[in-house]
Amino acid sequence: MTDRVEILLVDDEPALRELMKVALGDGYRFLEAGDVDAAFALLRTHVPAVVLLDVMLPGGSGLDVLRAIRADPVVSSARVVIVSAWQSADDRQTALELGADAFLAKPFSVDELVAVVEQLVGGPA
Amino acid sequence: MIRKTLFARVAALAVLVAALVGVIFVVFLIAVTSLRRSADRETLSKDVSAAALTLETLSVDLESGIRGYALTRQRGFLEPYRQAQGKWPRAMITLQGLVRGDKVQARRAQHVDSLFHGYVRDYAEPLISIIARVDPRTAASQTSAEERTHRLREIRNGLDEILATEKTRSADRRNSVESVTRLADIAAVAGLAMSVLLILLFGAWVAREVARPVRRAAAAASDVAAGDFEVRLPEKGVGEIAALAAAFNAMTRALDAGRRTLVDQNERLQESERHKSDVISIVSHELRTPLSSVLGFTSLLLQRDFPPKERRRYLEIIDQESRRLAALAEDFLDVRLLEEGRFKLDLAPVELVTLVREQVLLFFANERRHRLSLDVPTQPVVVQGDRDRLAQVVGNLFSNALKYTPDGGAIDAEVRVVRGRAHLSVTDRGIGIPREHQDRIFERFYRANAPGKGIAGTGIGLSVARDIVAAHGGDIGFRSVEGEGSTFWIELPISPTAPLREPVTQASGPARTQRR
Repeated sequence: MTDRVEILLVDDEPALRELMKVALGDGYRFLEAGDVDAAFALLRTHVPAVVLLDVMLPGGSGLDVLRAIRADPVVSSARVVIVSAWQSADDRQTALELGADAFLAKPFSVDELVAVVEQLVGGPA
Repeated sequence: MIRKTLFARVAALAVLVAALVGVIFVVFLIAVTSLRRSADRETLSKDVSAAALTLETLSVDLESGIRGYALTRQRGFLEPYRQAQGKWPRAMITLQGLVRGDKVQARRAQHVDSLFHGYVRDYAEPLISIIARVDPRTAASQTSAEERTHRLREIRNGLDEILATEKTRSADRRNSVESVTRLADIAAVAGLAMSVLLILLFGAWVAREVARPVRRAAAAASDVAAGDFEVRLPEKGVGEIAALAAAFNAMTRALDAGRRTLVDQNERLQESERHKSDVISIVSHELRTPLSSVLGFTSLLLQRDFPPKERRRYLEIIDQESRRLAALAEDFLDVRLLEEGRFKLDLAPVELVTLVREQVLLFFANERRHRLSLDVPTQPVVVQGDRDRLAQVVGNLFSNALKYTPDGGAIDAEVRVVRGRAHLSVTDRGIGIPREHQDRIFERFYRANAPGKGIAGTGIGLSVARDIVAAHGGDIGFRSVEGEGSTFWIELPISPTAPLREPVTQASGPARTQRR
């Protein structure tokens, strides 16, 4: 099935990736990466509509992934949601300046996650 | 080199000037004395000359009396002769008294006196008696005029010598007085000039060696007052000035050190404040990740219906993440116990190889990115220790090796007995520890550059491990090169009583476990 919207989940905690999958439901196709390298590998072959991106990752920072997405014309259309346990105003500001579409702080509410993703997917593609 | 003091120099100058003045004074004294002596001498010379001239007059009177008498044969014409003859001895005594201190003149006076007596005795008196008895012309023929003149000339010559000598003496005296006074003049002028020069030179020297350094010290003191404690004075020059500079420098050094201490303390306080806020941030971050899962799945389970199998799985995740939270709480509790000194060990013999194997299973059973090589001895390695706490330390070393090798790779663990101590080392080929962080990695909550590399953690593990190992009388350490990896090791004393309550699981050959 290729008509389902693709969502890339980047987080080193398998439990959190599973939570996101269960929360967002079967309406999406999920790609999963546990570290920065895996995320880059998937972005070479896929153009996800939404990327849920952790910041503290093995092998680097999620912000590097965000920069790479915004710099690559092929995948730059992806909507990026930063999901981080670091949640100072500065971190949020940095993420938004780098081109993030939304910022979710851990622990996030499941309802909020669903709402943010649906809004991004339903909005101008 | 002996540093001359300002006091010594001033004293030396004073002595020098005083000596100069003294010399001038002495020269003047000598000049005045010789002037006075010369005046006395002059008076004496005049008296001597007067006495000699008197004698000379008397000798003339002698002659003229004799001649008048011879020509006239009248007794009255002999009067000057008689008078002169009568006055002579007293006049001669006067002269001899005056020249008593002068041997040459005294001898001459004596000579003149004897000439006089010779003249009177051998010539004048016989002539007078002849004249009295016979015709003056016969008498005149009997006495040669030449003889008469000769005798008198001798007397006069003697007196003239005395006069001439006296004149020379007086002139010599005057000359020597003149030279002494000239010398006194020169000495006075030269001494005054030298004193003035000395005082001027000393003034210039004081300006250069004292006034300038003092001015510099005043400027430096103003700098210090303005807060510049790094100002220093050159510690040279005369004693007191150098001592002042040294004392001043000691003061600024002390002030500088004091301020540095304050600045350091302030920095440490600020650092401690930052550290506290970092710790809060670390703790909150470490809690957020498991909390996300617990809250998320709980919320899903409350909102939606899931098939029993899935519900069970989500509950398992909640359970697992809650345990993680509990373990974190345990870590924080450890820190509290350690910091309050309430940390207790439950000691018993522990077989280290078995303990290491258990931790290997726990950390590497489901690990796919890392590969472990385990090298342990065949003999059991028994240490006296708290089994749970030692397991915590070993677990921490494995957990760190995995965490700080984010790209995966080989990890080596080895247990050996070295010089009666059990030695466990865990070597990774991960990111390593930058040199500048190596001093501090056993500090509580210190995370080096890990957060920037996306590596989670609290900075508690190693600090607690260090305390546990120390409580066992052991050592913990590491070698690390940034970008190449780290080897962490612990060393524990082997238990003297080595009961084999725990069997070694693998007893043949060097045990080697490999997992993918």
